[in-house]
Amino acid sequence: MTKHVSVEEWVSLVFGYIEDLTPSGLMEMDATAAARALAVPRATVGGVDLYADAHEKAASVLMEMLHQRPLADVAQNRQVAALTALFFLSQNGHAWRPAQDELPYWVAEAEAGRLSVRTLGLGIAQHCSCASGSASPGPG
Amino acid sequence: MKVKSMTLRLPREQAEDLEMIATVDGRPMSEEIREALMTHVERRRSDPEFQARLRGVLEENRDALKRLGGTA
Repeated sequence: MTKHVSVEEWVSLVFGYIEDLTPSGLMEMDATAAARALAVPRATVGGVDLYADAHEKAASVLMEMLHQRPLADVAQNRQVAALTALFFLSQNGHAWRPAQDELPYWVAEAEAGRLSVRTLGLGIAQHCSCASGSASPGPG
Repeated sequence: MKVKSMTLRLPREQAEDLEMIATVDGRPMSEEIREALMTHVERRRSDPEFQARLRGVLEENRDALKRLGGTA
């Protein structure tokens, strides 16, 4: 069963990240926008998950966080959106280890609306390993 | 400090309980709610499994996340 990120966990992620890496603790947060974004991976159609696997679910929450913008600061919002996707994958037994410039690339493309959830999910899967230790095949 | 206004909808019974607590404490309801929220966040912060997982994810992706912050 998929373990989703709750709104309270997301708030804790934000406080943990901002406290950890940035000098200023002041920010504005839209919890309603966050809740909308966090609900997206749970979407179903006719009782079937809309997003097929953990990679697509992570992609969906990343893209929705970028579009809903629960944090007013654009840079922080990008960082927290990516962190949410990374955390989601981690708690579902996957470790996304994007190459050095890959994460900024995917986030920029997603933010610009040039990616579908499916495409981003495939991109995530390419550099994702599962808890069993097996890695997804990398790019050819 | 920046302040954000929020609207909070509560079940009537819960609102009345909160009102009673605030009256006994001699504090505004908003202060009771703020304290409850901070307690909740602190409890989550001290959840060891959650914190360990968050720390692991941050350590593995620290540079990549920081780079996102500098993206125009």
